[in-house]
Amino acid sequence: MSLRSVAQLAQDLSARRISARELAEESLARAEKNQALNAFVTRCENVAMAAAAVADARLAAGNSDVLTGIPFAHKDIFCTNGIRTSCGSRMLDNFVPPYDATVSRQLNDAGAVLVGKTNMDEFAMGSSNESSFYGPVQNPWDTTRVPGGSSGGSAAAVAAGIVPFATGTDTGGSIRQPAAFCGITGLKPTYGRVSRLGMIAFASSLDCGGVLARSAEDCAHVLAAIAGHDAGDPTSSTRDADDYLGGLNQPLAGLRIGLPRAYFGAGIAQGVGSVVHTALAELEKLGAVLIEVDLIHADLAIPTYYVIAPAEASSNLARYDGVRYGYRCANPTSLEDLYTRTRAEGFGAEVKRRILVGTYVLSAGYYDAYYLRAQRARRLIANDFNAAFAQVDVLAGPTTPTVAFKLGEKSSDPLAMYAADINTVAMNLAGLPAISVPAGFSDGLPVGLQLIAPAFAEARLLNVAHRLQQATDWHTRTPEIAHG
Amino acid sequence: MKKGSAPLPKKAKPLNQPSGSVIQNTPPARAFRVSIDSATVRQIAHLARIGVAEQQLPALAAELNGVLDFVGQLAAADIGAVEPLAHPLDETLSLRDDVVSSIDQRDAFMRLAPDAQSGLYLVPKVIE
Repeated sequence: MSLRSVAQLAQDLSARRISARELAEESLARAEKNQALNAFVTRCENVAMAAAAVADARLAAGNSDVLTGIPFAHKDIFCTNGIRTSCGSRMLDNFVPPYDATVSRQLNDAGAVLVGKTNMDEFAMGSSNESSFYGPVQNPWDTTRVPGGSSGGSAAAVAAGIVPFATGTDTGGSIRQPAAFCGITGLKPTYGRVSRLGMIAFASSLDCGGVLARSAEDCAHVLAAIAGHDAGDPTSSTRDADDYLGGLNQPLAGLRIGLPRAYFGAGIAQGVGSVVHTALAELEKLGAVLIEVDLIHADLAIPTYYVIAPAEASSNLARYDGVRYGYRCANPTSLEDLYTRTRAEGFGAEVKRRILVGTYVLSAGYYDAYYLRAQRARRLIANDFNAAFAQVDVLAGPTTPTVAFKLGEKSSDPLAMYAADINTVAMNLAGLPAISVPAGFSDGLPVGLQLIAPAFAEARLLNVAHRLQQATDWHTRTPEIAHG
Repeated sequence: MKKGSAPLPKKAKPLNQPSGSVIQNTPPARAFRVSIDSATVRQIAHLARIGVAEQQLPALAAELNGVLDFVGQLAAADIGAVEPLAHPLDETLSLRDDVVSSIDQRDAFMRLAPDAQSGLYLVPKVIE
């Protein structure tokens, strides 16, 4: 069932060919059967069955939305009222929020059926899902490989056919990179397009909520439900959301696609580059024009990101002090001991590393040299995109430099892990929307094509991705595990 | 940010601080290829209120030096004096209407506390 699209499932539901209850049961059974993937931190059978009953009643009453009765999973970073929300951390292993994130509320209101909370890198810090307190997630295409991160559990759950869509968050590539590694479609909207209320903070000027699904069309359905201003998040945009579905079939004739030279550089594996060029040729056949462009400060993106993200993280994660909620160390002897031991024991190695780097770059005497300089570089990176979008409608390139790497291959080398983010971090620095779509395979593993658009042009991105998916079938390929 | 050095606080302070916190032996702001040692790591860890065992300090210093060296590429780049970009959203932040928007949830939030009594969060004794 979950290999069918959201639109197909919605038709089946409204025609009463299948019930929300049956879909939820099937999804939960597939989650159970694929436990070895470790895609879920929490499965919520009772909540799912109750939501499915409500959905079936709505469907029977003719009072349904396109997502009513569709099973889905939340990345375990979105607060869910009464359901443990761990953020992949020991620090929040016992945290049961008394409220819903705005995105959770929106999807509940639409009648979507939450079946579980997915595994993720701790506090979304990672590119492989190996920093999770709950252990790594396996890639459904090759279980010896990483699913990508930090939304690794969401990507694996969609790729394995457990759910037709899942939420994710993207601070430096955390939706797009796992979508690429798992052969699915992942949309990171414009900064401020989706509310961050109740989405546990990592780096507040970079964090974006978004969606992982089997197709651009399905992403459009979900984005339509979660986009828009939220008075509870003053950084959410007051611009009205666009019609993401209405423009999906616009022809691409004359569309100018910019290919940033830096995104096809020496670090890109040959197999990945050639697959992406094949996909670009398909877009050319649809009438698009390919133009090489320069993003002259592209090489500054990773160092800039790895100053700004840790700086914001060190500030955001100061709240975990063992006093108000979350983990507390045993038998603290003093307040200082309570703080330092709670944080030493509650956070994992990568989170601590980033807090320490962030504390250092924000400290007096270093602030100008690191943080302020990074903010200036961030302006240059954003300006490069503005200049490029004066010439082209969208930008394109490989989402990742390689296909999914082996579990353990980079987990002891943070810098090698950071380098894998080379084509994804700049969009977060500039706040731009981007989507990763399946573009084919290299050595039997999925490759992602990334499309990038100006701020708030999600409809354009979804249109380009949808047309490509109408003309090709890479997004319909599924791993063996999804059929077992 | 304040420059120069000041003594570290002797008593634990609230965690929401790093601005104004000071690393001792501050080199000039442009010196990027700094190599931080165990003493500096101990001090950063103190500022971040993360306990680090003495024997872990050298290895952690090596890791942090790797990261700082890497982001130090920014020092060599021709960045100039463009306006810093703190936030990508090119909009004035919206203000909410000044009305009551949520009900009292004190009990729900207090229930999350590791240790609480009579509506108060409990921590180890701070004043003798």
